[in-house]
Amino acid sequence: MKHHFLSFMAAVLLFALSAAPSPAQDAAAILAGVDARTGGNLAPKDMQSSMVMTISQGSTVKVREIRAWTRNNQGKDDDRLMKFVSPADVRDVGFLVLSDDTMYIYLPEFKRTRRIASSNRKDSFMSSDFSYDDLGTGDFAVSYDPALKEENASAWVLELKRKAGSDKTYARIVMTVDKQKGMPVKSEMYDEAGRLWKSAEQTYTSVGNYSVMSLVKMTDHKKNSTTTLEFKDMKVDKGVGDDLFTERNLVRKIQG
Amino acid sequence: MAEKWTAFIVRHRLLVLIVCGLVTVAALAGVLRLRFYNKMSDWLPKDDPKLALYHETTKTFSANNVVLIIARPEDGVFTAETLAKIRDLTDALKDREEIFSVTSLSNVADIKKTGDGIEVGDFLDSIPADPEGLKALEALAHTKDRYIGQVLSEDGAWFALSVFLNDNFDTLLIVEKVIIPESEKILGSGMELYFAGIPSDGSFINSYTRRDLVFLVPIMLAAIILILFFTLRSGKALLPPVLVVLLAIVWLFGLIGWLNRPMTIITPAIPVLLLALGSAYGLYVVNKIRSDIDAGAVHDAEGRKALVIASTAAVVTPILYAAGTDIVGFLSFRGVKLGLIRDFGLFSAVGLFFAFLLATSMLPALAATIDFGRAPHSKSHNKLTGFLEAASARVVRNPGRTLAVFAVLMVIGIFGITRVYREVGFSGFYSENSMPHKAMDAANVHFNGAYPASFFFEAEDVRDPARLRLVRRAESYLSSLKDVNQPLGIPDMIEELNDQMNDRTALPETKAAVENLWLFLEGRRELTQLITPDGRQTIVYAKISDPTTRFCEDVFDRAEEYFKSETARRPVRVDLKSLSPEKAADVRAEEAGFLAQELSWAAQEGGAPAVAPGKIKEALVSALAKPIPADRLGQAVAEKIRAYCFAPSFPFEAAPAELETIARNLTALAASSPEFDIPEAEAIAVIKKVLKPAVFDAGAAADAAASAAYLAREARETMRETLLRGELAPLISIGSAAFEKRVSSILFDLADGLAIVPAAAAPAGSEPVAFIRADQTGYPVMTTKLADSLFRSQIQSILLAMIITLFLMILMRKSVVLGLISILPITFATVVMYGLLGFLRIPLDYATMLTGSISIGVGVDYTIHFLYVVTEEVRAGCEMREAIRRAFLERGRAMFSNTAAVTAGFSALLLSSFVLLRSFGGIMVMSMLLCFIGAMTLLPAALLVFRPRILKAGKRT
Repeated sequence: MKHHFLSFMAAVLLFALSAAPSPAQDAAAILAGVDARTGGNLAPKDMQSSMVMTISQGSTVKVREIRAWTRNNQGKDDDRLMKFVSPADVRDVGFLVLSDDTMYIYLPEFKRTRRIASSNRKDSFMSSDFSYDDLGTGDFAVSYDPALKEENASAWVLELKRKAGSDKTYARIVMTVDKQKGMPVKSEMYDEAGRLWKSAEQTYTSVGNYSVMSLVKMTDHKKNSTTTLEFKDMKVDKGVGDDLFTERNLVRKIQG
Repeated sequence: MAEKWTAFIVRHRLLVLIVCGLVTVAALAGVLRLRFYNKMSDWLPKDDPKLALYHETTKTFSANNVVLIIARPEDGVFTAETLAKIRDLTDALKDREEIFSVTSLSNVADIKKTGDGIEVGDFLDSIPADPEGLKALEALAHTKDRYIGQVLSEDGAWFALSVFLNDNFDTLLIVEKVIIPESEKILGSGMELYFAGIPSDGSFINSYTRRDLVFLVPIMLAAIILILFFTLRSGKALLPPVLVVLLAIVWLFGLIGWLNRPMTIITPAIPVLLLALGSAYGLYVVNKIRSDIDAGAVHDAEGRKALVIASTAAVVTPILYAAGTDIVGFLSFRGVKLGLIRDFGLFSAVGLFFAFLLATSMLPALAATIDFGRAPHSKSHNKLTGFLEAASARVVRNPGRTLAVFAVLMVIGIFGITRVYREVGFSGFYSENSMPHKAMDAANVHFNGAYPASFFFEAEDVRDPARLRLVRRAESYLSSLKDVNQPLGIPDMIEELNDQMNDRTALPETKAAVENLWLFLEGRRELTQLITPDGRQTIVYAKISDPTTRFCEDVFDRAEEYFKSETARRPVRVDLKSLSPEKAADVRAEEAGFLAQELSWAAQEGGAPAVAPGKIKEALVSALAKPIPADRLGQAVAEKIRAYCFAPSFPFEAAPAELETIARNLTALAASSPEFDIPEAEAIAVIKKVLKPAVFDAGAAADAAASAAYLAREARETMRETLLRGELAPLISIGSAAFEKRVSSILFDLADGLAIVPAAAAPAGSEPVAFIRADQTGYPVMTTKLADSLFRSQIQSILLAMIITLFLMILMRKSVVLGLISILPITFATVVMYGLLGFLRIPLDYATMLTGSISIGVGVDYTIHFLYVVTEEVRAGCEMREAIRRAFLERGRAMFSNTAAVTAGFSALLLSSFVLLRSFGGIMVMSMLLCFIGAMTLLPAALLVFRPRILKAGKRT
């Protein structure tokens, strides 16, 4: 009897131990989920929205209104088209981003498009606190090794360390992932010297079957400035055609 | 009163000595807190509007806080190892909170055209590993005119990092604790390494001053002790006056430490001054005691005490007068504007007070305790007595001739004073072989200097097209000034981007066009050095390669003249498209005149001879009157329109044949107008005619029409600019790429529809183009203001010292005539000394400006002591000549000892690392001798010639 009982307890124990996932696997799984929801097969296939970008530095506040269209190319960077709506002097200025290194800019005052190859992904986008890299949606898992730092009832906290050979901007990211949404709600980005460089706070809303970002606030702790991106009038999975992400469309005036 | 005080001291001598000891211990603790701080801008008064702007631009742009790290690697700049070091050092510095920004080869912006696009990045995005790659990189760097003289020398052997420091931190400390150590650590050996610029100057002054203070003061002290021993012939007698000065110095510096006041470049002069003036207080006491002991027998301790009390009391009054005039004289510095001189005055006054207190308390306490010995009667002592007797006899023999000789010397001195020049820049203080001097040379020769000269502008929006043209105009003006180099402003960045994006180096004529370009420029790191985020303030930043005061004053004056004349012109903006063709042509001719001036300035860049603006205007007006050759323009328009129609961005997808037809027809439409204008409605009709109805869209066609019209206008303006340049070539020959860009930008102004002209030449009601503020700032401003302050402080301090001394002497002697005679020796010494400055071409600087006040202090002390004996002897019934002889003997020895000792002490300054302190030491040696000579010859001669009535036998003074 005793022998059977002990064997039984050992089996239960063995089962319990084998069933409990290892922390490394959890982190990878969590990160994979984030990637899938932000730019993978669980993300909207395309999205159209209005963005209000508010840049605050000291007493200076700049507000820009942008219309944006995004197409999710799973496994690759998104196609993105952005057209400025306001202020008036920059209305119809357009950005077309097709890959990490291919970008087109249209300046309506000069009636000209130019292809821009920015080799510096760390450069600020339109003087905001977002770099070109920050606006990209490449998989985190491709460039970072995750580890589960801590866990509470509502969130996982992942520590992402940049992989050797990766050209991503941040050496380390501490990402808080909301358990319910499976999406990052807070991120802290660190530089090579281990200093906190930027932090981002994200808010989501439901659009269709998706949780999409409605607000992101990026703070650059070195420059002491903040940029807020507020997304409005979001429409997803409308089926955008290839002709949307072309130079021809880039130069068209915004209607309304 | 003096006797009561001395009696009290002697009675409580043990307590006095204990208190002195305790104060000294407390002071030594304060000495450990001492710090140096030589930030020139902190010495300036804060209420001057130009200096307020200097501080403001320093804070906003860090424009005046630039350190240039300059290096010449042994193996050359373009090796993988050196480039990696440059990158590592840049990265190590740029993210630190104390650093505003860093520009180097590693991160200087590199924008290049690539076919139909542009590539934006940092110059050193990656470091080639192979020699061919490195060679190509080097060749590329040499094609960038903005790199040469900024981050790379023209010969390619040197590189530089411009480090802009955050003004919220102690910039001198950043240099000392961050920049120098990081540079040395990362760049390592195998490089000639220098640091130049205002913050590094201050840091070097700190370390050199510290070294001098530690190194020179003991040498001075040793020299003084040696001389005093030689004259006093007794260690015991020598100790007290030296102790008085030493303790006064320790107490003073301890107090400075406890009050947390910084020491500056002239702080080493304070111990010097205390040695010069303070030692005399103790010497007179010691000499008097020893003489009295020598004259009368002292049998026991009580007798000794009584003698000490009497002897000390006898000299307390003249010492009090001497110290009082010295202290009041130095306190008068509190009224001057220059901060470091004010502090110097206060510290010196406090130090002298300590010396007086110690000489009249600690010394008698010591004298009552230990034996100072007797007055020496050695051969040398007798020789000195003999010399003084002979000197006295010579002076009293022919006082009139003595006075005449001195008068001639003073006249010559006055002539020398007219040749005195000022030097307040640190650059003049280092000897040629010193590291800071070599750094400055390297900066001047290879990187256009290390000192900033800037123009500041403030408006609602400085990016307004009209204002941008005026800012560019200011750049052109700066570029015309010799040794003012590479002015850089926002217009340059906009022009460069316009050139890269749109193939024209020009400032756009509309606000929207500027904003379009600005959207792309915004966020670039280098902008923070040139414009505020709200776009209200901007600076044009240049460097000067001649930091001497004379040059800076010249630049300052010229810049003042520039702003004055530009304000007087009252420029306005005119939209030429809103005028009739005839009126537009008139305004255009006026604009040509306005721009001709700018072209004349631009042409002088690099020292080229000036071209008269009138001639330039003639050439421009002549060129404007000529029509653009229609065939060439037609061809240019055709090329542009065709390229547009076939571009992927053309609004319509159509067959090549259709596109060809559209292009041809649009070109023909343009050619039908003399100005190659393309009316929108007709252009839309052209497009509609060609395209299938299903493809045609009215909105898109309107866009295409507008684009075609724009391209035609662009072609016309480009051709006009080319023609203008051709017409100018005989007057202004083709120059460097940077120069041609500036010329091109100016000429495009004449080609487009926006004109900026003086109000007098504009149609009524034209909108003024004004700035809220427009002014110069930077090193020339700071230097000029410092030099001005220095000069005023000098005049003020000398006049005040003279007046106060005269007043006190009249009060003490109760005689105006005697008071005037009293200041004759110091007047003589001051005039001749400053005359020597002029003749020897020694500049008036922070140290030499102190010599006047020190001389007055020393000179008046000698006068007081000499006159004291003369008046006492005359009161006692002595005849004037005999009284003078006795004064020679009684005071002459002490004065001689003091002069010899202090002269020896000042001579130690000739060993200083600073040219400034070496000159100061040499001049002070001369000054001490002049004071001695004046007191011993001019004073008695004047007494004999003018015979003040108050100095009659039996008449008390």
